[in-house]
Amino acid sequence: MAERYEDIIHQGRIIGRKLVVDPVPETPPTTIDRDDFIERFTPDEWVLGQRAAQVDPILAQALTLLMAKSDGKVNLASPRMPPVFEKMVTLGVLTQERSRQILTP
Amino acid sequence: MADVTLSSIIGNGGEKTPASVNGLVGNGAFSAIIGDSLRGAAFKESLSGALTANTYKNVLSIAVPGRLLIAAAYRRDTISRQVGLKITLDGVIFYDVFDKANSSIDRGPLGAGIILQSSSIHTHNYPFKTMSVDIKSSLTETDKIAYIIVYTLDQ
Repeated sequence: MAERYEDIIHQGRIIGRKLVVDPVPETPPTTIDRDDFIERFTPDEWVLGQRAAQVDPILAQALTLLMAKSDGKVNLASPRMPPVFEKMVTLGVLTQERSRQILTP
Repeated sequence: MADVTLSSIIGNGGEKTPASVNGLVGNGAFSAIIGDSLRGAAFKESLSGALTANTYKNVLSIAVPGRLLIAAAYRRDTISRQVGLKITLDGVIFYDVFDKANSSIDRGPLGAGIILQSSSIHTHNYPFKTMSVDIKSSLTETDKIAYIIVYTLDQ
């Protein structure tokens, strides 16, 4: 965090000083609620994903494992996440750009 | 007869800078939750930055006449600590309160301004020729103490 004192200018002259602290930008969490994760998909994307999972057991199992954690959280930064999303891109469920957007914390 | 100017009757010329404020929540007492109301009124919140435990840090110094409307300091997280606010007007310590340790976010001393439960806010109007505001915490801080100071400067 950067902090400094800035001059206070009044009617063209320095009449005092004030503390200025630049807030540290908050890093968004990489772990989000399961409901929030689902909300990142459009309804059409979600339906397409479910349909793709019905005919692709590997995708179905991967999605289930990623979302079945007992704490109801989904880890966007999990190393297991990119292959699942690459699979969904390959199957036409998502575009590469949408895949990137959904996985961005 | 000496000249009487308007400024000697009204405005800064006719008013004395207060030396103290009495009857507010005092040293070691439980302060009120004020941060949410002040932010809700669109007053600008500033961060303390680094603080050394139990040591005042100057956050504002003014060397021309003006009026103090609002001055508050408060917690930004739920770690138990004391928060202090000191206001010096014309070289005299007008308000110096180190509140009771507690862990409520947005709670802290209010040296100028009145906040009602309904979040209605009234400003004070304390004239000064110089003003200095300091804040402190009972803990060593990074950025978890905030403050709001609203003032005017004379033409």
